[in-house]
This record gives sequence, C-alpha cells and structure tokens, in this order.
Amino acid sequence: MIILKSPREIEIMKEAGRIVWNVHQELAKAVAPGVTTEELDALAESLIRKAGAIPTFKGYQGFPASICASVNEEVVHGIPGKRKLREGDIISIDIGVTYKGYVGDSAYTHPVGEVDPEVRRLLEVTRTALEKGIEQCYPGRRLGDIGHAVQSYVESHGFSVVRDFVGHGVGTRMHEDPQVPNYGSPGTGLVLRPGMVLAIEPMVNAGTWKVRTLPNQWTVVTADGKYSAHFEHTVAITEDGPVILTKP
Amino acid sequence: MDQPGIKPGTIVRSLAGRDQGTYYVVLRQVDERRVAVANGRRRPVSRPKPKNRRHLEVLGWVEGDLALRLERGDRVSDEEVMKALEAWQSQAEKEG
Repeated sequence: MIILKSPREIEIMKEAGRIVWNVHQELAKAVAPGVTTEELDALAESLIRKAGAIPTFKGYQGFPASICASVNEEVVHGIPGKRKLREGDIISIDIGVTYKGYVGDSAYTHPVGEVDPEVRRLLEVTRTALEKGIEQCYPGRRLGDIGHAVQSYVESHGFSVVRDFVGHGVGTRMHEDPQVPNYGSPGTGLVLRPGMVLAIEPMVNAGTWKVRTLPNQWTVVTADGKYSAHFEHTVAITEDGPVILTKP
Repeated sequence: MDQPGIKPGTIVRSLAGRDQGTYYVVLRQVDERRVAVANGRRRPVSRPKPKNRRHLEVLGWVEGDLALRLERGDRVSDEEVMKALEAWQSQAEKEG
C-alpha cells in the first residue's frame, strides 16, 4: 500500500532530512585514513541523538549500529567495527533518522584521501545517476522512468547497477511501498503522484552487478571483489516536481 | 537503507533457518517483513513457507509466462516452480 503524504507531513520529513544532511556533513569531515568505522558510527549516533532524533537503523531487524559503513567492495549494510580506513579506500555511509515520527534516509560514498582516478569516476557516475533518477520524479512519470534513467546512465559509463537491492517508499516507516529499482524500462510501472516520498538509491558496481551476502547476513559485497558506490536521497514528489528532503 | 528487491517471481536462496541453502521461488508478499516461498518439492505451492526477506538472498528472476502469472497473483503449479528453479540452476552453472 502506498501512503501519500500531506504537505504538512512533507515539511516534517524535511526536518528529519535536514538532520540526516547535517550528520552526513560532519561524518564527511571525519572520514580520514586511520579512522575506524565504529568511530564514525559513534559520532553519527551522538549527533543524531543530540538533534532529538532516533537512529532508525539501530535495531532495525537486528542491525547493530546507527549507520551502515560499507568499505570498497562492500556494497551496502557494512557493519561498523574496528576496521581502519586506509588511503585509497572508499566508504559508503548510509544514515537513517526518525524525527517526530518520520524517517529521513540518505547515503554518500566518500573517497579516503587520494583514490584511483577510475574509482573517482565510479563515485561521480553514481552521484550523477542519482540526480538522473531524481530528475524523473514528476507527477505522471513512472517508476520505470526512474530506473531506466539510472541504469542507462550507469551502463553508458561502463559500470553496472545492483539488481538485488532497491530503493523504497519512506514515511513513518523506513520501508514503505513501492520498491524503487535502479533498473527498468521507460513508461512502465507505477505512475508517480504528488505526495509520494521515495528513497532513490543507486548502488553501482565497477564490475559485475552480481553480489553476495556475507555470513553475518547483513554485509553485501560485489561477487567479483571490485569496488561499489552508493548515493541516496529521500525525495518528495510534488505538483512542481521533485523536492529533495535530505538536502537543504 | 535499501531493501531486498524481492517480488513474486524472484529466485532466492535461504540464508537462515533450518532450510538454509534451499532455493525457492517467491510466490507473494505475506506482510511487511515476510514473503511466501515454494520450491515445488518439500515446499509445495499449496503450503508455502513464510520467510523474512532479510533471510533470503536474491539470485535471479523467473522468466516468461510464469513471471507474468506470479506478478498477477494467478495460481501456479509445483511443476512450473520446479522447472523454473531447474532452468535457473542450469543457466547459472553454464555461466559459472
């Protein structure tokens, strides 16, 4: 069931989104060689709670931390721990907060120090693919238009989109209908309507799109061990088009 | 945080539970968290197993007529489910 949000609800979701954005800004500054992913998690949790919000991921179906911290070949759901970031790594940080009962959800992939030019290109293409997806968020367009915009942009640059995990509706719960795949055919699927709020989140692999899940049952890694990037925004569809809630 | 892209017609492998490692076809959504899966053998379509989405790994998707019918919520047979799993497995072996 798709739950449409009123303009007033979207205003509250903007506040939740703003907290997510602020925490991302601080974490971006903290990412550096030698920093552990659990230090980033602790920083995120303290910032989220200081803002009067709740880290949505913590305890979500048993997830043990406030952020997902996925390094290099880890696609998503990396569990923060004692791993130290090293020069040349990339780290995808996914953050969700619940504020006044509504969820904001967004992700960025950061380079750690200087990274290989090809890795930098992976990050740029993934970030732009997210923008291409968001550009489709007008009433009357379809879910397939979003997926197609992301997929065609990514594949035209020689990378691949992960099929196994998808974006989603967002509201009082982190995962609402509909599913928002990063692949698809234009003009197919659900028609977008004002009041829908979607998390659009391309996960882009440098090599094959195939992935597997580690025995911890959370962390997803690329099947070929090549790097993967992830960018995400929570986006409201309004009469005038997309409004990114997780960005000021 | 993304969610597993699981819908009717997705071919999955169980990651947790006594059936760990078993391949299934997703028949339908049960609730927010769970989907009903069957393999046409120990888990027939008449008695599908409810599984938490998070305890399933996405392997691929069934093709053709079966995919359309699962999407529409039509009845499918155990034989069709078994065949779809076998077809997927032989394809996967070819691809290595």
